[in-house]
Parts: sequence; C-alpha cells; structure tokens
Amino acid sequence: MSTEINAGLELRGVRKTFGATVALEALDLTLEAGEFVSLLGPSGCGKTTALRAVAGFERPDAGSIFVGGHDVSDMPPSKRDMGMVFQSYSLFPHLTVLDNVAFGLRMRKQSSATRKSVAGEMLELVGLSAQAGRFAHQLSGGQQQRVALARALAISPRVLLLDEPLSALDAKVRVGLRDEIRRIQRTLGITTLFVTHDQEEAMAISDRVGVMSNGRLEQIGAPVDVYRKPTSAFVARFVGTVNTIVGTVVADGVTTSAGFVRVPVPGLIVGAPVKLLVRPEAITLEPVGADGTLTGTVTSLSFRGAVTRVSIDIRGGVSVLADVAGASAEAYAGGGDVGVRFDPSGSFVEPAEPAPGATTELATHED
Amino acid sequence: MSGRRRPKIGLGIFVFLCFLFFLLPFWSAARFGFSKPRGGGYTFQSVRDLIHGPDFGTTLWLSFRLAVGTTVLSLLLVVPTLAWLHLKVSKLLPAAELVSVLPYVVPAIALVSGASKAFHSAWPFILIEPIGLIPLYVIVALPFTYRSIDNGIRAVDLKTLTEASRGLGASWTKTLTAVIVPNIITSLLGAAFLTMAVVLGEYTISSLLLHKTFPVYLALQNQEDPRGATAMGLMSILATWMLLGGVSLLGRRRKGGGGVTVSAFQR
Repeated sequence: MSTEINAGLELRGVRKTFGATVALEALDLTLEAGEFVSLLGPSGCGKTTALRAVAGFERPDAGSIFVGGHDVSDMPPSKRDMGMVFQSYSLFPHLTVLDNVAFGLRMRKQSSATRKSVAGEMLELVGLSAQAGRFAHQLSGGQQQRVALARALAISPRVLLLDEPLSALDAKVRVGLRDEIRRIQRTLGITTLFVTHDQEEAMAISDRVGVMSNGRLEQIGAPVDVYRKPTSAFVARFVGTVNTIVGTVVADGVTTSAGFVRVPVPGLIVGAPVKLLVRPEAITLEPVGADGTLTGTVTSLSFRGAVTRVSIDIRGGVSVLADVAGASAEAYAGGGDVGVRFDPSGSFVEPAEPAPGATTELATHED
Repeated sequence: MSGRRRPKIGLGIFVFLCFLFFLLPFWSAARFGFSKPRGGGYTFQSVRDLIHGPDFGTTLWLSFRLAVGTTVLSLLLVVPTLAWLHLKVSKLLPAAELVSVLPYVVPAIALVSGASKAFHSAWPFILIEPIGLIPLYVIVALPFTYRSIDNGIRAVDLKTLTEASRGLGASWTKTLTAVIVPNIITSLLGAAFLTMAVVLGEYTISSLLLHKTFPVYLALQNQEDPRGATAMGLMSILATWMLLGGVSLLGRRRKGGGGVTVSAFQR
C-alpha cells in the first residue's frame, strides 16, 4: 500500500491528440489533497481523456501530471497507486466479490490475512458484506459499482478516479450511490477526480466543478459560482437551463422584440447585437401590467416535483421557460396572460456573434 | 395446417439424410473394424493385436508429446498476440484473421516443401527431429486456435478488465495470467483440445518428413491389418468427440456461474 495517501493532483499543460482530433489542449488543473473535483462536459469534450491520462491509460503528447508533488507522467498505470471506478461494469467475473476487492492487495503481495481484513472493511464501508461470496453476475448494477468502489479504495489510493460510474444505473440507484460516494470520500478524505456529463450529479457532490469544452477547461469553481457566475456562454448553457433572447444593447439594459429588459451590460457598446441568457428560476410571474414586467401568455405547464416549469409566449415571437416553486404554479394551469419579470441576478448577456473559436466574455451580473 | 407441416416434414427428412450421410461411414467403419475376418460376430481382437504391436506405444507417446507441445506453443503465441491486437491495434484484426485461415488453403505438402527449402541448411533439426514438427503443427492448427481464442476474447470486456487490473497494480504478465486467461479458460480448453485433435490425426506432414507418428503408424498398419487400423481410428475419433463434449459441458457450466474460479487468497 502507498505510504502517502490523500495526495494533491496537478495537471500542467497536458495535451493529447488522436490523429487530427485534439482531445486535450494544454489542460491545467489542480486538486488539493482531499478535494472532490468533477469534470463536466458534453461527449467528446476531453474529460474522460483527462481522467485516463491521470490514470496512465493515455500518454499525453505534452505536459506533466504530478501526484503529491511527484511527476508520475512516465509511470505505468500499475505503479501510480490510483483507484479507478469505470463507467462499464469492471468486476472480474471469475472472482468472488471479496476476491475482487482484495485483488489490488494481492498484486501488492499483502498477506492473506491483511487482504481478507481490508477487503472485509471495504465491503462493510459500501454496505455489501453479505455479498462477499457472490460473483459479479449475481449482483445488480448498483451493487457491482459499489464493489468496484470498494475495490478501488482497498489499495488506499493516493487519488480516486471515477469515470462516469453512475451513468449505467437507473435514476434512484444513481442518486443513492452518488450520495454514498460523497459520504465515503469525506470519511476517507481522499482526493477524487470525478468525470460526468450529468451537471446535476456534478453540482450535488463536488467541492469544485470544472466545465470542459473542446479539450479546454472553460471554467472551474464552486458549483454555486459556476452556476450563478458563468464565465462563458457555453458554461451558462451547459450548466442548467437558459432562455436565449436576441436583442440590442441600450443604456441600462437590452431591448428585445418582446420589450425592454433591465440588465447590467458592462463592457458592451450601445447598439451592439447581443443574446440575453436568462435562467428559468430568474423569471418571476406577476399580475399583468405590474411595473417593469413584459406581458406573456401561459401555453403549458410541466410538473417537475419541487418546481413547475411554465412555458410562456411573449410578444414578438419570444418564448421563455419559467420555474415556479410549490403550489403557486396551479394558478397558471388554466393558461391566460401573466406579467413576466427578469431577475438580473440570473441573467447574462453575450455578444450575438462571437469570434469563431473564441471564449465569449459575458457581461454577468455580480451579486 | 398441412401447409405449415410440409416444411417441417421436409426439414426433418433433410436432417435425417444429413444424419445418415454423417453417421453411415462411422457405422460402416465400426462394422468392418470390429467384425471377425470370416464373419460370425464381432470382436476386439484386431484392436488388441494393434495395441500389442511393436510401435503402438512409442508412436502414440510421440504423438501425445507433439500434441502437448503444439498446444502449449499455440496458446503461448496466440493468446498474448490476440490480446495485444484487441487492445492496441484492433485495426489489424481483419488482417490477422485472414492470416489465420491461410493454413486452410495452403496444402500440407506445400508447407513441408517450403519448410524444407527454408530450413534444411539453417535449422535442419526442424526437418530431422520429430520436435521440429511442432512449429508446423502450430501453423496447421492456427485456424482452430485463433477462432476459439478470438471468440473467447470477444465475449469479455477485455479493455475494461485489463485497465482495471493494471490500475490495481497488476503488470501485463499478471494481467494476462490472473485476469484474461481465467476469463477465457473455456475458449482456451476448446483451442487446446482442437489442437490436440488436429495433431493426433495429422498424417501428411509427418509422413512426408519421415516421422513415425501415431497416424503414420495407423496408416502403415492399415496395409497389414485394415480391420485393426479402422477400429483404432474410429476409437480415436470417439475419444476426440468426448473431449470436445467435455469442453462444451464445461462452457455451459461456466455460463451458469458454476465454473472454475480462482481465489485471491490462494498463494
């Protein structure tokens, strides 16, 4: 077992190409010891390549990877002391659950007694002690991923790598296991890099979330900051839902075909074409004619549990989605006209035609 | 109803005819091999005579050693090669598959002729020593070993299992022996038994290179005692079938979860 556990992780200028495709473009990323960081992004954004480079399964074309301050870039995966849970079920079919968990210890030539003891502890940690004698095909998908987590943790890895381990599970199991991963990570204080395309998942369990696009890290920060203060249009759109309304900058806001919206427009010149991005929860519905509101017509409601998503047509061909909390949404079940107010704290403005390939600087509202 | 039954009846007749076509030669061989020379019943005497013949034991032992050697060399060559192809250069798999079927289309006599020209000055032992038959048998058995092992590898998620093993600290060799091999063991057994069957029945190469293996001995005996040689040949085929049946049974048991397991707590 490693003598140095819970080490920090650092990627410096890591670049990886596959033929003409650039999977990673000089990625810089630092995880403090014990930190839980998620890499979030659409398929092909490079997040899995970054994780595999850390694990040693992909050799970067350039750049270095440090664990606990030591350069591990040239180390084979077997020497890196990293625990990894894969997207697909990866338990060894010929071994029992207990033997699977003990596999890494066996490779480290630990004694039989130690292997049995540590594997038993890990299975207890993930709540599967009763399944120790079973084989992978006798377990559910969720149980298999728990065993895979126990197996990864059994070697006391310096860094835990999670490659979309929940994506093959059904929604209820996914949420349960997600919370369990976070609980165990906090208990052990293990540095964890988690890759997912599910923004809700990343937001729920991470200390920090990094949003990736086209091999670049667009933004990294606390989940609440990434959500409320996106630094690019891509992040605003990828993390959460946004309404997009085309308009033109005026002195203290944006004029759209639906009407004037008061919103901060720092750094943008008057008359510039822009896109106004508004979160559904930043739209409040008020009585028709209320001061500072636009008039719209409710067209449909979609119940989503804690909130109801209301579709509204505003004049000028503009349609928006608004999230209304609790039972108050029932008032709009019959349709009809409403006053629509945009909350500047959940609204962002971006130039309508950003330069190709350039990261769009947003005029975001600072709380 | 009659319209539906007609195809079933036709299929039944077809299967029955195929069955006859397949089994009649064996039935005829059994009747001939085990019948008394002047009629009047059946006997194992011809088989007993053959077994007590001067070269029976030595040729059978030689063929058995060649079979084991060929099997071991085949598995040592094909398993890592196929694992490497699947993991690292899967684009080359179609080419490898094409190469693996070449022994089907290259006649054994051409193989011997080529080997004679290639090795007679550099490595003459390949042509002189019986052990030199092993590399040639590996080539002859390649279509069977390749297919059997390839099917086994395709049935498991090789990439994920390998990466999981490597990530947990296993070297390539350990990954091969502790993870890949146990998970394709049924395919390996199938490949092993098919290879042994090929070697135990191979006549042309050993005859052309003047090695007296078991099939060559049987062919020679056939000239002196055709009944005994026929009976022994039939028994060899039945033994091979039983081996393959055993492999198939083992494969079914493994699919049912009752297969061979390896414990991490074993030293």
